[in-house]
Amino acid sequence: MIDPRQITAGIVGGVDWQSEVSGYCRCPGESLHTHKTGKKDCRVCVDGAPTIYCFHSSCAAEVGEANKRLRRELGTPWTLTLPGGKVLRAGDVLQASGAILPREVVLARAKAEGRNPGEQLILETLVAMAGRFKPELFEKFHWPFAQILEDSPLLVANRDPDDQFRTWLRLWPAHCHVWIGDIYSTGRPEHATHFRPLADWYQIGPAMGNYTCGSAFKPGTYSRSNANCDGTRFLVVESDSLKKDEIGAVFAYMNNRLRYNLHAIIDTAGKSLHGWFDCPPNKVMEDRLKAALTVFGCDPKLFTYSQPVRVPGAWRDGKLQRIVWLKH
Amino acid sequence: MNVIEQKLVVKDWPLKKPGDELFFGYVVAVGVFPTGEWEGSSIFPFADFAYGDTYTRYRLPHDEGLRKQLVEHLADNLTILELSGTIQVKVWVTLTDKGYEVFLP
Repeated sequence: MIDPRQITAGIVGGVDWQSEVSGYCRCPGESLHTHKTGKKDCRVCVDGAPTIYCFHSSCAAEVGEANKRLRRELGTPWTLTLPGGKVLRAGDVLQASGAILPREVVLARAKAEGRNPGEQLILETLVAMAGRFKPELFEKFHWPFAQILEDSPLLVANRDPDDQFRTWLRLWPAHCHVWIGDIYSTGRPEHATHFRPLADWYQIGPAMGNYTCGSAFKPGTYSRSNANCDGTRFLVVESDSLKKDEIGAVFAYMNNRLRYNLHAIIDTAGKSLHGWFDCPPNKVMEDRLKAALTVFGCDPKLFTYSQPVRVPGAWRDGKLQRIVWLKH
Repeated sequence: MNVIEQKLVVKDWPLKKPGDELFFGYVVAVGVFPTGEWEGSSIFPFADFAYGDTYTRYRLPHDEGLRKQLVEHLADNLTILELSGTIQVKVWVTLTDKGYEVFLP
């Protein structure tokens, strides 16, 4: 039986194995890197869908080719005996807990979710890999709160509440109807007053509640539900467990490495920062991002596009909800 | 009828001293739990929290302030569920010198 690690080393060169299935390697596209290469920037995993992953984006084409070769050469059956005697087979995923997720379970999950089996395997692998490179991600993309304030292309943090609010309104396309209210301001006809076109909100100011939503709504709506979203939306990334000095790494990773366009970062006047991003371009990318962000400590419910989030310009217990980083 | 087969682990309340603080998740249930004899320590108050794919039950301390705050947030979730088809109230809890404070992220 072949050893998957030997085959892997034949493709990427020497691997500094950190576990039975995963280790650091030299990026196949290192010569294309436009920033300094660190020893922990590129990782290879042989379990699940065998994958080489690099934190640099300029090497994507080379890494993609190497991944095709890796998966092709590890496509034949192999087994790996883990410490303790468990046997990992080609297509099984070694989870963070040390438990093996058998490929048959991956197939069953694909069927239950109505998903392509190959995509399901990528998702399960992505979850395992995200857990493995999480420490490096938080180190490499470290973006503490003070630095976020300093790095903002536009100085917005000290603007007054009305200015904060109007600055945020400018993120939206002009035709949008936006909801602003408190969490109960939805679901009954009398709540229609909280769903208004942008022009109305410019006149009213930040006076109708502490919350808004990353999605625009169909005109005439009075219920903040997914069915009433009009398709114009932002992905608002937040975490309940990451501190303000930590969540910035997730924002930077999404913006700089995954190329999700970051529009603004909002300080909720509580424990959290919210990053306003462009949405994933399709359901496949959304599912992948959701899987990874959940591992990084983000609430998977942020992908519920009618979820309320804090609106800048409103006061919360004497503190201002405010934009602290703004792209344009 | 939905039958949910599960082993429910009840965790001890984790906040022990002033300054302790924890994010719990969405408040999804507050109640009393009868086990064995219907008296004494076999009946205890609990609160359930959900977050992502986790569901956790905690044994609540006998603290009226904490209990009331959690029940209010549970009621909020029930109302929001009716109005918008989802729940939205997730909480941090801090133990201070003056008692428990439950707040939203």
